[in-house]
Amino acid sequence: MTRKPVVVVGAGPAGIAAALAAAASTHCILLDEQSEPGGYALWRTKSAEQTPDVEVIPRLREAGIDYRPSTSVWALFDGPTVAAYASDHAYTIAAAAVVIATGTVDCVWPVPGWHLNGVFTPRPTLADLRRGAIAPGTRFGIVGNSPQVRSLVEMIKAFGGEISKVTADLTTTRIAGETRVERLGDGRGSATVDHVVLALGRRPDHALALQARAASAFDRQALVEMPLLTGDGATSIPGVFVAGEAAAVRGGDAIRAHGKLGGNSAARVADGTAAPTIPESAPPTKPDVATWPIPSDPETIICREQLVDLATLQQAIRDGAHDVNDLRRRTRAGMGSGQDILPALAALLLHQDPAIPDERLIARVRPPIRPLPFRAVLETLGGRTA
Amino acid sequence: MTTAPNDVVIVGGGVIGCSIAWHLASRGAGVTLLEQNALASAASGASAGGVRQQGRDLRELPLAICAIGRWEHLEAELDADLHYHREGHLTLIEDETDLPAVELSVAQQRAAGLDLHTVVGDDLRDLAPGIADHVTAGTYSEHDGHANPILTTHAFARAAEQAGARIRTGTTVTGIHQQGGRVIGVDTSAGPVSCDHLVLAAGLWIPRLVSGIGINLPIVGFAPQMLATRPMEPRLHQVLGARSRKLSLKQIPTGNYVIGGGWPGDIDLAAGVATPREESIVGSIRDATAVFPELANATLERVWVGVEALTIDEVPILGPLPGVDNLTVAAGFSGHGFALGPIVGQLIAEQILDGTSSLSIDALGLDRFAGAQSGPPKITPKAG
Repeated sequence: MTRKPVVVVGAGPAGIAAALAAAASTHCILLDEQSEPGGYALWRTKSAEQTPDVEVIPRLREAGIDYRPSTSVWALFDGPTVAAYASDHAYTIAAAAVVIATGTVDCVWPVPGWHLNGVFTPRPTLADLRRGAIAPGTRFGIVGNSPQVRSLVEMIKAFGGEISKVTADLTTTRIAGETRVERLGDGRGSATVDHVVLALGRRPDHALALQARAASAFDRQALVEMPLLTGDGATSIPGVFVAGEAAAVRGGDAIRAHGKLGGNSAARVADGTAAPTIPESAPPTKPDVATWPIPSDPETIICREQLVDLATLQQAIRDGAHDVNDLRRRTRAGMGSGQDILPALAALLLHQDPAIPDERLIARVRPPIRPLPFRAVLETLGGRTA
Repeated sequence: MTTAPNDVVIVGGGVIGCSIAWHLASRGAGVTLLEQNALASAASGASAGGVRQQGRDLRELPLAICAIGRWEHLEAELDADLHYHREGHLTLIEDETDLPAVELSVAQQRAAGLDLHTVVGDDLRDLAPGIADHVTAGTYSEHDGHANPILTTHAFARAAEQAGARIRTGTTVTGIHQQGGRVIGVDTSAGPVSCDHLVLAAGLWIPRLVSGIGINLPIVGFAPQMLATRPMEPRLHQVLGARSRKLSLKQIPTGNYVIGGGWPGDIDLAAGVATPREESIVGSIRDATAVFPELANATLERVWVGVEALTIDEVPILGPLPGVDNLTVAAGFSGHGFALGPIVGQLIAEQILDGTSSLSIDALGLDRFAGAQSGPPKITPKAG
């Protein structure tokens, strides 16, 4: 009988550290959505050719790690059973343990006009710059004062773009245009822009742990649900760990150390020597989204995927929307790929009733956490691979 | 009974409870509806939204036919957009040897008053382009269609409130009070509420409630799982079912395909949650694509799971409960109650206020199970 593997999801610094640690004592599979390892650092490199750490792939190979790039994980079932797909086939891995090292997602926040074409978060902007999809001379507006802004400005300049306006004042920010962005303004004036970047920071992406129904708490500062974790990233689900930035750990060395810790613990689960632990708390998360202003203009689009405005949401809350899931059902805001605005929906409910219990602010996270092509499922007809 | 009771309490804020509230309140009855969670948060919130007559049990078919008559005017009656589309329901047949049995079933349903006929060959492809080549025939019910269950539940609730009903969400009913063979009130998480008549429309949560007063309902839980794709070009007008598959497939106005039909998720009733099941996601995708191959280009965007009450014979239990004068149940819709919402509300209101209903629901009473062997039902329910 072959022993079940440890699966690490995400080949950023934490995932690589976790995979190397786990592979020292057990079979390890490293899945990553990107075509090359590196995680968030990849987004900041100046060209597609320039890989931040060219030594990574040989190191993974030497360690005997089964590294699978361009592979998305769309769900965990029954604890550490990993449902994945790559190009045109889907498969399931019955793992002994899973380390979720999926890093962060870019924060968004509704400001007037953010639904117009030409408004992006940093990651798709950086990807477009690297692909040469943004013409030199393109005029950029940037909204935010997060640590992302400085590197974003450098990257835009390096690729020949112009910075027309940077504003950190969310209260007065207004993006204007017909169907595309044309101007970015705040209390101190406005500028003509072709492209607006919402650089509001990044928050942990631990959707897989939440989808797997790990015990969680609602973070009233970041307005997101966080899984409860022990020091090594163990969730309440045996064999499911969260590591690195996905576990709200910040800073290169700390991220790698946390990944290593999670990888070691996952390997101990795989060889049956792990002692059960019960997580009791969730790490505090940044940024402090609870201080971000709710737009004052009732026509502001809050959910840009479903085009739901502030007035509609406020009416649904006045009509008695009971919790965030009820608010979604009533308005369709935050459905499908609109889930990036769940913190804004929580903010609206909290604004109406600051005493609302946490469980009413938690939206259900269900599979698929990544869009799943039917074709991939049909290719395998649900075959299980290990 | 000639005098209207002045205080009816309804337990359950799904489409059935809200429809009963509207029909009672619109006739002047004093109504309070109690819902433990939010409106449309269990079975109704996960319904596929089918408004279908064909393929129903013959005891239920007269209600479904009357319900379609109500659906025709329901948006005007409730002054709300319910996304109601009446473009037909096609049940596909993939095996020629099924045809004799299908013809018999069509004849029975026609005899019961349903406008249903069999469509084959080019006629079938003209009717619904995109159906797989191997599909032999379809039974077509032209007046069937679909609507949005969440909009419909809220529209009933809003109309009921405007007619004076009180809707209390986040209020859990924990017990039933009786005195002298009558219900006199309920205990709730917000304190006791008295009533002259109690209506239970809380689906799977009813058996536990009535077991406290010594009544056993032959109801078990079922968790129908639904899938939605990303929006695609408008293409499919009818609702597609399939005789030999667990399938209900439709394209909603926003372009998303919604796939249901009875592939199950898992229920954890204690935690009040239902979770998707991997083999059901795969099974649903396989079934839908087999009869409608262009779905191979679809992308799965959402999966959700409802909490349904299923009876032993997969037909609802409607009407008074034996041994208690003023207790009515409307439950066990077994995955196909949404379409019946308007008519069930009407008939239950008539029974309570007039002592009789304009269409008999006697065949759907709990007493049909008397003497029957009870046990877990064998189930292949066809949702919505």
